[in-house]
Amino acid sequence: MSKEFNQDVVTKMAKLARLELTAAEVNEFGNQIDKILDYISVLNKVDTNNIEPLYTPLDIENRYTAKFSPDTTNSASTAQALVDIAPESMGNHYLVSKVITEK
Amino acid sequence: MKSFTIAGLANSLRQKKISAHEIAKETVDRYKNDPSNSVIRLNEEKLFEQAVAADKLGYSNNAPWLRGIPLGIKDNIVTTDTQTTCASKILEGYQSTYNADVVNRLALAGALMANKLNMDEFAMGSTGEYSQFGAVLNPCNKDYVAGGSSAGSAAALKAGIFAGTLGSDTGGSVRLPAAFCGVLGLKPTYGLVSRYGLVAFGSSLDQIGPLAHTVDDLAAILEAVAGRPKDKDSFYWEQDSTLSPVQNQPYRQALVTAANKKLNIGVLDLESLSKQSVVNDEIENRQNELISFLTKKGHKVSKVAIPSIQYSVAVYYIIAVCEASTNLARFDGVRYGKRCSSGNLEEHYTKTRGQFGAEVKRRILLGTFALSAGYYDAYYKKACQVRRIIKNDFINTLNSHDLILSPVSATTALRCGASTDPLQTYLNDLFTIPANLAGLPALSIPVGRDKNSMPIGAQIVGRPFDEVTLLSVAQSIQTEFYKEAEVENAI
Repeated sequence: MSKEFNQDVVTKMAKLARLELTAAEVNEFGNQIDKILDYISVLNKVDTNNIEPLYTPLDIENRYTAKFSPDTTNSASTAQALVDIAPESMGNHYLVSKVITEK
Repeated sequence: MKSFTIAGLANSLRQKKISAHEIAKETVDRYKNDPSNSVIRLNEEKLFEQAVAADKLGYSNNAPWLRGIPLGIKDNIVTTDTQTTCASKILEGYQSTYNADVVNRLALAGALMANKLNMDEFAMGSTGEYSQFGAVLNPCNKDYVAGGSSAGSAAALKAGIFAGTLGSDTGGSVRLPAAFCGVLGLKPTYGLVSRYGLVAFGSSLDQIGPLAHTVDDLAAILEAVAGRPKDKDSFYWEQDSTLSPVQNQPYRQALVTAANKKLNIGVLDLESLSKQSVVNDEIENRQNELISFLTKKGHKVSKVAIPSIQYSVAVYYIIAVCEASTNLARFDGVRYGKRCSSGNLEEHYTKTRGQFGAEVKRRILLGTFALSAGYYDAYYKKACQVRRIIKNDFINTLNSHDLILSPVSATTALRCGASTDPLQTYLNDLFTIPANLAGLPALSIPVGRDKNSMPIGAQIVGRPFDEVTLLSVAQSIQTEFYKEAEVENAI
């Protein structure tokens, strides 16, 4: 058991990911993820000296500049259509909870 | 109740034995009586509208092959006419303002849609039990799972509701449910099918893929959505910059030409995987019978060892969760979906995102951790390095072999409720994950049934963009080695 993923770490990650967790979830996920990380540590056995990381299966190629014409607007959806499907909106603005509170 | 095949329906339409309207009526009927919970929603009004329009255009010999035929669409592929929810509460009510590329192309090819198929929430799962809209049951036996995450795509097909479906595959999510339900399922080469309009889970791994009863049907769906159409302009790549320039090809026709080609087939040496997975005896025996058949057909069959596959589950469950933690950050209840309003902005985010199911939360937490300062190199970068090793090993093997044969998974369909340990569930993906890591095409083929009468699947992985070879081998297997009952008895 690595015990790397203890409850403090779960709580910290939940905050970073903006996820609400119950106390039971913090406990349960902590144990489950700890076990998964333990399993994943098998990768430490692999010699990756001088191996370039592979981030995508494709050969990376810039398709925009060389071959195609400069930026043109070609939007599948209008701004208004996008705002209209929001849970709360006003005009063409999204509405959210207050960020700045009075002291 | 007889199943539909695309070819059966297409011929019946052309012979005027049936109309699209009648097919749509039958589809709705079967959906309403479906014991497998495979369809999340079906817009009857829109479906009949599309059927009437198809009947009006008619079915001359020049008519597109898919005209008038309803196809099932996984609930993570966006459409304007039906909600898309990825089987999650957080997207309840989400109506997309645009259609996915595959949807536009299927519509152009004449297919009817207006439906969404059940799945594991946000494509995270391999049993179909993680849907927030109820688990998907295996139509072969409702005490067993359908497999996931494209659970509904396999089950709705097997249950006879649709003649063909689309799923998505990130670590085996088309191939595993296909194997568990006894249908064909293909993960195309990465970059062959546009991901524009597919709700992203693991962007370097995701591919939309077809499921069908027959190889001809699978090829029919693939040729409607794969490759660059001749008239596409730069906007094609603005929609999905990971698309290959490979042109669209007529797979059904190509199959005819590719038949009878003698191949070099590599059988994956399971011993070389360091006891990562103990494959069920019946699956191994059936694979051996398949090998005898392929040898008799004149193919050269030999063992190949790819030991780095033993690391693929570990690699995947870092890379996929990291990409997922980023891709799912957009679900914040501000621009779409179901918001949980609360006091301040932070609570708004955390409560809204608290709607995610347990598996989704687990993966986001793990991904956030593996990408965080101090851990990025040890986890994400390391996993990407091992990914390159796995990809290189596959490419090397495929230099001297046309395809690699292996089981789809160590077991046949699991019983409902049997998967309680997340890590144990992840290990089921050992054989399917490598094709996603390497970006290679992979096909799951029904090859028999086990002693409980549950389907057994075999998997073949091929060279980049060599789907034709995979389809051609599958056709030979289906014609002369084994076919599921639906294939014989289809309408």
